[in-house]
Amino acid sequence: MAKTLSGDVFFASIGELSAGLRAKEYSAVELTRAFCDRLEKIGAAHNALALSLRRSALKKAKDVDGDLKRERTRGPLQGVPYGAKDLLAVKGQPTEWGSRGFAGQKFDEDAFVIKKLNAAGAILIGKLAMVELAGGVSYRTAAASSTGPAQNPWDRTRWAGGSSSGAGIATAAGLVTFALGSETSGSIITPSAFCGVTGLRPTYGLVSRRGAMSLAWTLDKIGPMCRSAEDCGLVLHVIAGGDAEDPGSARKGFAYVPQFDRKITDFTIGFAPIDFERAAPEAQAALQAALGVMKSLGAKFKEVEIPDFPYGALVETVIGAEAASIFEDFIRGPKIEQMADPSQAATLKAALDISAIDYLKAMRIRSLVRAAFREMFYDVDMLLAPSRPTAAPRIADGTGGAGGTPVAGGRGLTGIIPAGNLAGLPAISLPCGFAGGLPVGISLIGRPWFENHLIGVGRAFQAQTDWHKRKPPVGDA
Amino acid sequence: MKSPRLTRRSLAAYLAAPALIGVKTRAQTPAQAPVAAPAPVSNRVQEASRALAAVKLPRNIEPATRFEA
Repeated sequence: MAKTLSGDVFFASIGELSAGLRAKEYSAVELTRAFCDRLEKIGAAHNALALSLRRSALKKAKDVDGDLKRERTRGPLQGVPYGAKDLLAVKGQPTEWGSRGFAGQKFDEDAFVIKKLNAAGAILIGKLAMVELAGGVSYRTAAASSTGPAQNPWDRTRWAGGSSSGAGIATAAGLVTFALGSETSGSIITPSAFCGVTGLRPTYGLVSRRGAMSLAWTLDKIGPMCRSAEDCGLVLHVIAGGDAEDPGSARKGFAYVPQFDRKITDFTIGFAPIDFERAAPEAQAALQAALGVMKSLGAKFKEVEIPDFPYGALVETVIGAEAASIFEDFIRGPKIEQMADPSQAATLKAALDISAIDYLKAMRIRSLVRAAFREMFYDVDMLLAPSRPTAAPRIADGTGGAGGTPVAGGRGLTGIIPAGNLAGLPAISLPCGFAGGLPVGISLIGRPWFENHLIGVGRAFQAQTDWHKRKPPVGDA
Repeated sequence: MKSPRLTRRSLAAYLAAPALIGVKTRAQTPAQAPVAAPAPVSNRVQEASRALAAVKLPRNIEPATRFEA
């Protein structure tokens, strides 16, 4: 008879699950079966599941149990169930990029990151829902996905955020222990904040995109979405690294080395008080309290303002031109009419008209953006800002203006999501409280290649708070 | 002839001269001004183009070819 696993297992950290497997409290097969049950039931009910991979997952779990029996250990991810955004290829399985226009599409090789996790013994149990074509240039409705509107596990009438929607839901609801998402401009940070999970956007070029859908090759990044900063470090340790077959790869590695963390008192953190004052009224208490906790950790704080550039126009032009080039045949063909969000289809068509001069101008301004951030990081080690100024919007209200918010009384760090992406900066979003029963997140944005600093401060923040341990009311499978 | 690259000094000069950026920034919007509704999709490309055109770039700035700061 199958063992019934306790609810705590579904919300355990990677380290806890790994310890349980080694102590033989449960087998990898039992764990995988239990997680698959939850993902197929609760995930499907929240429109978070693109494809269950139960059969291949159970086969892999059996192999892992064999390895553990022979004491062939492969690290903390061995036997841990995870999900991957449906933008990542899995050999021989449908990889549909959230779009009816790519229904039935298959690839004959796993994505680089899937191969890496497979080698580390992690068990892929499902492909997770996403906004169609990772959001394309822009989308205006939560229903912009072949799997339907992504329902937030904290309140199913609310959106989960995008475009890594299923990764946010599945991680928050304990349907996987971690997930892989991707970000071109906001697609890890936003669902992490809205669903109450810890999401890490790596430095551009740190994680190979081989086998991932390309939306904008100068902006696309793959990163972990987990329930803690510690888990983000463990996953990034495995998936990062150079790849000669990804032209954007910086061919750098990443070692998660918490034992060599710098003292937090050595850091200077840049922030803008106005970001916290002009957040949505219901989110302000949580954000201000989080700022207070951050300050109590002992770092020095310095007021800063984001360099003044038209970030929205820049990111729209770069994504639009690159996406129109990548998807030109799709945009000019009949399948674009199958897109779930007509406004996204119209935006992609319009992107065909972006001139080479505008694209190059955007890329030239981007040189200034990069230089301005390099300058900023002479004075501060990292930046701190609300991940989003509001909690998750109602599904019926659309995506809640995912591109930004109005500004009065100074720039603060408004626009840090597109700006940070244009400058290739790493960021981590940490759950930091609730607004009307919905999670709110705070983000640290760092220098390129200094993910360990962000994770270290994130871990210290999570040692003082328990927001990342809260469980949404999704019930049992 | 190869163009000189961006230097800290040229960047500082650029940032210190907000008049170079011809667009009215959001920061200059009066506090009580209503937020404009999103532009129709067909206008978005032109709107972005106008915002970029308003940024006066020194001629020696080359397009970004690395994408991290």
